[in-house]
Amino acid sequence: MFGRNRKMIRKLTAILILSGILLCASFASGESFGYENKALLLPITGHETISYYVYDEAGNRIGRLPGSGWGIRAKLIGKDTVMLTDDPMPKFIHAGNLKVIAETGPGQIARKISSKVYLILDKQRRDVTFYNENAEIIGDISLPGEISDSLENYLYADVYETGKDYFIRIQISDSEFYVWVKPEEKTAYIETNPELLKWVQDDNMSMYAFGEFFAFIPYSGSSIKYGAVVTREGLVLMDDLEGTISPIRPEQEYDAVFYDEMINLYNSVSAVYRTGTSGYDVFVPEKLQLVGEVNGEYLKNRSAGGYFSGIAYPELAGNICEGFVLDVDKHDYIPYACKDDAFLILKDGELITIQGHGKPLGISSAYCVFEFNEGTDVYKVRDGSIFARYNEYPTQCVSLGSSGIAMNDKVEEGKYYWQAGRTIYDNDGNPVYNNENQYISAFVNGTWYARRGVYSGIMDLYGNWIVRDVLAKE
Amino acid sequence: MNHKMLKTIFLAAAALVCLPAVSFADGEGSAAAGIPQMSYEEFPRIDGSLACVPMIETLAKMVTGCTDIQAEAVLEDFTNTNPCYLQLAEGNRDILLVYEAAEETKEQLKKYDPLDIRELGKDALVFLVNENNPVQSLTIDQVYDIYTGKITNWSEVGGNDAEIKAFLRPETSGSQTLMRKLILGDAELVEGQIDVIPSMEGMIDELKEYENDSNALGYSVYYYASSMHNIPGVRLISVEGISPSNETISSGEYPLVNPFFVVTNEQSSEKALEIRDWLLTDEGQGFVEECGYVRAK
Repeated sequence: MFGRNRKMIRKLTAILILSGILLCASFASGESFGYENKALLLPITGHETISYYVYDEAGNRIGRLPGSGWGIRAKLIGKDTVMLTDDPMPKFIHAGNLKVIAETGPGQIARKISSKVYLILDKQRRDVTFYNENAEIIGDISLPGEISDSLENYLYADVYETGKDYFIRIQISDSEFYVWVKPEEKTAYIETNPELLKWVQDDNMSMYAFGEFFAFIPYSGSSIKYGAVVTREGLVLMDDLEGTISPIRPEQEYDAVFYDEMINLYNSVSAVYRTGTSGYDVFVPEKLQLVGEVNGEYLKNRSAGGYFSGIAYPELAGNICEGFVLDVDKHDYIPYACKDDAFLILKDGELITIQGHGKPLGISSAYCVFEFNEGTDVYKVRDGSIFARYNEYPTQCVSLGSSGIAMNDKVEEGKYYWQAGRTIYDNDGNPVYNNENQYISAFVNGTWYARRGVYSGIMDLYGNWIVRDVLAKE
Repeated sequence: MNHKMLKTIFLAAAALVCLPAVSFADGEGSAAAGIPQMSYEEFPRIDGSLACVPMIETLAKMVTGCTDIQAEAVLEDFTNTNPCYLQLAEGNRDILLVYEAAEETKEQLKKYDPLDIRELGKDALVFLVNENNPVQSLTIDQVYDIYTGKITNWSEVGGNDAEIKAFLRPETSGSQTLMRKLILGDAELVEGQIDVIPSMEGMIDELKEYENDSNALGYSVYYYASSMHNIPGVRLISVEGISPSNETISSGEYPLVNPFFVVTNEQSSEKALEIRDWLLTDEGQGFVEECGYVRAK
């Protein structure tokens, strides 16, 4: 019964081998693939192992990271750099050739604390070395006191970006340190200013870093009584947001001012903006009303938009959010607000109300997503027109990759894909592919990094494998 | 022709495993009348050994007419050799296509209802070295001595004057089960000379990439090493002078042959039993063979 199939197999063998040769040629030229990163990682989780495959820009698997096993976590932290963290030997590895860039030794612990800052703690020497995303040292400090052996892994760190510098809170065991790291100068030092530390260490306050000052707002935002803005020098510029500072800028100027910096403070309390020309403005967004101004002359010379590296996501608190969208096509900032049940876009100084009765789920460079009782709507940010509507999973808008909503990923000029629920949609909101059968690790330039069944690799938008590896699960 | 090209050609050839399924699903000829037919939703919850994956996917396509993507997805909850026995015993699977369970797993299974284990095909434990290693064959005793530390240098088995680095799979793996059963028994393994490699693929990759590449010795099962992860730079060696192949495994000439099984239990669905029964027919055994495995009978 298999004789006819054998004949068919022989015929198709030639076809498939020819296809394979053509596929190889395509890989070699790199024309079929164009990833932003030279190398990409696909984490593979099995029952007893975690492996990381590394792919080159042509989509070929070029290796598996060494040291696979529980306890090892690998992160692609830069264009070419992978950081292996935790036990036993933290190290930075070049993702392309798997060569070690910066190696650490026993007793050292590595942590990623932001996309731009990484640290390695040497427990014995009590040193902390800070690295950027290219595994270059941007500063190092020696910590006072001793580090408990029994709590060697009890290491946490938060980073606050303040202009070009980083203000980093490091907690090791029961000790807490506040460190300034200055990448341009490749220096770091521990902050000792008591005026600033008083605010920083107040457990009842939320801290927000912005430019070269910090804003502090109590956690309980419903009945805000006071807040503070503290400069690095320790000067408290404002300590009461309720009533004592009268609006000093005409309300009608709000829409017209080009705000190139912002802080969103949670719980509908306050927002602090740096305007393009005149320092800081403080708002209570519930009323979209200017209530005060903080003047910081030393910031005036900063170029507009200098702090924005991409997209400002809204802080969603109840039904109120504010933010700015960087329109990647026009390299422009579009301010927006969502208040109660309306989504507002400020265009050319005018407010556009997109839709009422919805809950904002997220916003990207070009789209915003709202959940309504009857489904999920996706709007184009710039003109407020509806882009697509999705009804099946009204409560979900699944993120892909690290950049938030999939539609951030531009497949080609003027063409976007996005995901809601488990379905991928094209520009026009047409479902392209249902990915319910695979686990997605990342979505880059229209290509999945995914696992399906016992396989892992790279697949196209429609779930067809471009590169497939067998995943061993034992 | 570079390695990537060779790999792609190999993958293309390996894809042929699926071709009979496409033909059958189209209902070609009356000979296919005995093949079970069912909807994708009716396809039983299946699991097994990694080396059985191509056969499982081909089976899914053949009996349901599903797409390649759907066929891969039937193994979404794949657990591999030893865990899948317990999944079946606990009622989470309907059918397994699987290699032999480890002794520890067999002990665990005693507290469950007995499983129906039937021989589906034959495979073999095979040994691999880097292509630069001049050794062509080992005896079973030599392998035993290497893993128990009595032989530590390749020159003792006809190779270069170089320390042997022996790779080992975890005790819970299917290939290690065969290693224990066919070679090592309860022998204590020597520390330092042996590296445990978590995955079957990793074992073969390490043989290719190990820093003293020609020094390493590893093992796998024949189907996986020859059909699923056949990479340049790694070579199968003979055992007792017999090279592993479908022919020498089928004839029993190759000394390290072991069966693999179709396993069900009383809780298995009717569709699972239907598939099991068909796989054991002459037609089903032909399917096993056509998928690249060695039939049981």
